[in-house]
Amino acid sequence: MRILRIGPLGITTHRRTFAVGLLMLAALAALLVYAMAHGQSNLTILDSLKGMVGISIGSPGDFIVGQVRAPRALTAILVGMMLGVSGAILQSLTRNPLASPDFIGISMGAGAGAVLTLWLVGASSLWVTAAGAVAGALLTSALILILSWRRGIVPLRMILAGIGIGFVMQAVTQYAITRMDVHDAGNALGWLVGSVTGRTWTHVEACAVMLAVLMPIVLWNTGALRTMEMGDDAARALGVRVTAARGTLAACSVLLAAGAVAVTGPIGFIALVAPAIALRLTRNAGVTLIPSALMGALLLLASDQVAQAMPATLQLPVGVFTAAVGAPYLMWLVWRASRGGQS
Amino acid sequence: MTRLETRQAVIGYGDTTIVHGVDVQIPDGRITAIVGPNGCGKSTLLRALVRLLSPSSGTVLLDGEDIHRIHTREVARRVGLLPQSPVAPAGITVKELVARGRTPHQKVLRPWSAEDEMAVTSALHSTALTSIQDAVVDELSGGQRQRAWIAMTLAQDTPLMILDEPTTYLDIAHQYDVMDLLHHLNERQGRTIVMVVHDLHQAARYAHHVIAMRDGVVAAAGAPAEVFTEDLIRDVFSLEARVLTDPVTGTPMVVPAHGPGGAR
Repeated sequence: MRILRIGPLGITTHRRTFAVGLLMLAALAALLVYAMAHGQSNLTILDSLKGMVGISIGSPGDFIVGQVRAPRALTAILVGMMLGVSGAILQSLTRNPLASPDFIGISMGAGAGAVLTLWLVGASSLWVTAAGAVAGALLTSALILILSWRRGIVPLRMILAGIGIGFVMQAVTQYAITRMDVHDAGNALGWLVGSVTGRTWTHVEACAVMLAVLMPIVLWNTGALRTMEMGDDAARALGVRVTAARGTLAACSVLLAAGAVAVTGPIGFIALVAPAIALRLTRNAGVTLIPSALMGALLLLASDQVAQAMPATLQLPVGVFTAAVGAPYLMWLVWRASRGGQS
Repeated sequence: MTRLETRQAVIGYGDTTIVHGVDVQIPDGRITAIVGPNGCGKSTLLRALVRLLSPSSGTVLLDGEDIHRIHTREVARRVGLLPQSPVAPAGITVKELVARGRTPHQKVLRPWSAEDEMAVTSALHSTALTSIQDAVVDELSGGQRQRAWIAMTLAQDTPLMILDEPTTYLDIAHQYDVMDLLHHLNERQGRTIVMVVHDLHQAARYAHHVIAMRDGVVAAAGAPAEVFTEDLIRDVFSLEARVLTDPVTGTPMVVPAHGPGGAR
């Protein structure tokens, strides 16, 4: 065990978790520098470092780093964090490694909300689309809760209800697209694949605000989350207000997923995979939020770099790429579960 | 003296009332066993004693105060519970599990204290788990696992410990292991123990105080010798039985009066 202290305050963490966290941070920093230097035109590492700290490297380097690559990479990092944390919370609350916002319909709900907004209100601003996504996600979650409620939340019912509602939401999305005018429909379809291309500082700010508001609430409830993994009775007996903590955490998870979808469109599998990899690396028993966040950021940023590095004829939006990588993992998970193994 | 008692407590789930207005006093520093047939409301009563359920009328008093008016965390510092089927997070080690018992004593951003460490060390020691503290809980035998959970409840460091069927699913040797451990904790550390048990023989041997329930009411309460009578067994369990004296401990021993050889 290791204790990090700041004055009288401090947090307790395992040595291994701490070391893995530091390694992930280092990898993230290295990847960020790489991301600044590479793209359609390549810069030197030195130039990209200069550009990152605000030293002018002339034209068009300043523009490429400052207005194109930095916001794109930072969006990938922040959205990756949001997805990682959102998935980690859901998996812990449901005690099921298959639970993640892109599986239990929350991302589909956010997508439907955003597309409906595009159709009915038009593509006026990011904030309007984001509001639509958040509204769609909240509505979907409420529906899932109503359908799965039986004297409390039953995790498996919740997952099954979520999968069902996810399909309904996809149908809503598709219906809206067929009714839109061709130009809007093209935009909506492009957005629905999930991508960080062309994201601006406005997107970065939106993500940063959401994380700044929600993460403290989530971290405040980490102890409760870990305790609830032992069952509701055990958690209550240890002094956790289970209903309140679960509601708060679930709401944070939904809002993080909705925010991520609003900014980048639905990017699949990050929320599913990042917490699982973080668990394996840290060998922690129970949820690890910070490593899940860092892993989500690493995965999304790395996926976007790989997607960009593909030859121009094969250029894929990052959402397609994460799906290609994540789907085999999902199959492996199902295969393991069907053999009666525990993840 | 009693720190934990119920007054006319009516307890149930939703519209179904299971316990009908019971008055129960848990004697301090003693082992209390709650017995009764399936569905008599003993687990329901137990859940109300630790605030997992609230009475629809009547009260549960902890140190003379309505338990529902006490802060959740404060209740958890005074009463510990071992639920019937707790879930060990995958891959958790014995020591980590025991450490989770310290939850009610910790605050956000307050690091693990020397006091926490001491409580965990002593809980591991009392349950003879020190040598396997780094083992993974999923890989332990049933008896060891139950001891690990009891150690977690011990680390919570509450004067009152409540256990819901602590010996169910264990083989007979491990059942008596757990009972001996509880006896030891009561004797040496003066902890008040309340447990729901199915085995009347164990209840009679280990408990100082027995509460027998039937159909959601208390049928009898008192020392095992007062409660375990042939009349009461017939009354509460609908079982014709003889009550003999345990040749080892001198406590009552309930033996069914009919068997393969017929009644004798």
